[in-house]
Amino acid sequence: MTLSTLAGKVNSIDSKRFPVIMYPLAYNRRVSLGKWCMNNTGLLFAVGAYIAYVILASRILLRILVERERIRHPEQDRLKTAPASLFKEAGEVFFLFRLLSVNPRLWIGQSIFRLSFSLVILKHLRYALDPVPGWVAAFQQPGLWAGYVLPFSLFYILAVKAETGKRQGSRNDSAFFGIVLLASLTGLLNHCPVKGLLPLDSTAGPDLVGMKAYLAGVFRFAPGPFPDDGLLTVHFISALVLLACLPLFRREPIGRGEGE
Amino acid sequence: MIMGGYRTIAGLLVFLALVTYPFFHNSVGRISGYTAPKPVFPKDEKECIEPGKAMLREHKKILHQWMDSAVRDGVRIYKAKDLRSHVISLEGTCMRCHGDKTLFCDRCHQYLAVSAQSCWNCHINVPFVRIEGRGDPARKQEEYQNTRRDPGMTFA
Repeated sequence: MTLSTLAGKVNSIDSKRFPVIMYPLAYNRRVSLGKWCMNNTGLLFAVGAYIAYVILASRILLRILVERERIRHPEQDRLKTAPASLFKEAGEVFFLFRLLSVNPRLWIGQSIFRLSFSLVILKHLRYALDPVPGWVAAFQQPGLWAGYVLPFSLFYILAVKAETGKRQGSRNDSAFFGIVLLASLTGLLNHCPVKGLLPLDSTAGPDLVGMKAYLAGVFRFAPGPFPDDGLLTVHFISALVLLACLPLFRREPIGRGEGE
Repeated sequence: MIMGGYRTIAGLLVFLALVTYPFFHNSVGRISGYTAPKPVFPKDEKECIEPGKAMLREHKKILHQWMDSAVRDGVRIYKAKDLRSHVISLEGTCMRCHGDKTLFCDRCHQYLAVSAQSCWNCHINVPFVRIEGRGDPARKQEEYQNTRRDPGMTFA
């Protein structure tokens, strides 16, 4: 069997029954690569989603290996950290107590950002889970409000940091904030036509049912067509980038806080 | 001061489990493919008040506009983009074709965990019974204006 006949066969195979890993074989040499990409955006975005997941999982596993090495050889660790109680650690991770003592204004912004970001993620779980559990349905309205608050909290944090005038975070932090801002603004713009905030004739709301069907397919390794919507596409791509570069909490030396 | 160590590893593993949870939630027992909702469409009607794709994306906005138009402004006629006139009435126009909300509205709404309380707080879900002249826009507007003129008429 030649490659072209195999490609023809693969092209005609139902995507639901065929493993994703074989999709690249579906490239038919008679069709240009550009056209193929245009016709298979759903597949390309699905591959992008899997890559984002693999990157995130690799980063987590790498971090676990580093921590394991540190436990084995504590004398080689250059960052001197002091033992803390579980309560203290949890308080630091979830409530940023150290930042509160160092820079209360920044702490307010960071807390609002974290809370609204979490609620927005919980709201978006309705696209990822099928059937939608009751606890996700309960977060829909708070998640909607949080979606409006999220960009303002980002602007507030940026304003506080700019006013302080010090280099507060790494370049990765700035990139993360930029991507979150892009994702939140495109998400809001997606939402505006639905709520009647933009005129009916000029804009169309997103195809949410199509989006959920697509995402449910991605999570079952059988992606369908991606909804034909430019804004939704930008939102989805920014979410994938966000997933790949999600900051994992980092260890810091004693007495050094984010706001210092 | 974060100590790190085993607690950090445990936290990272929990985080990994959380972010990959949708794969397990969707895949367990449902390997065969995704299931998009299938609302029941009327057999004898081919067109909605606006094109189907627009209705899919904008029905919420249209229904909100209808609510404001009927309840606040007293205007009971909707001019569609193709210049056809429709009576602004959820039960008289929408439910004439989509008779049972559980077979139409709820299919997608439950799929996306969307609440439609703004409709069903006031309206009731009863299978539509065709009444002569009920879908006539001119008659509906006239009926409405008559009820507004009659001071003895009260709304339940």
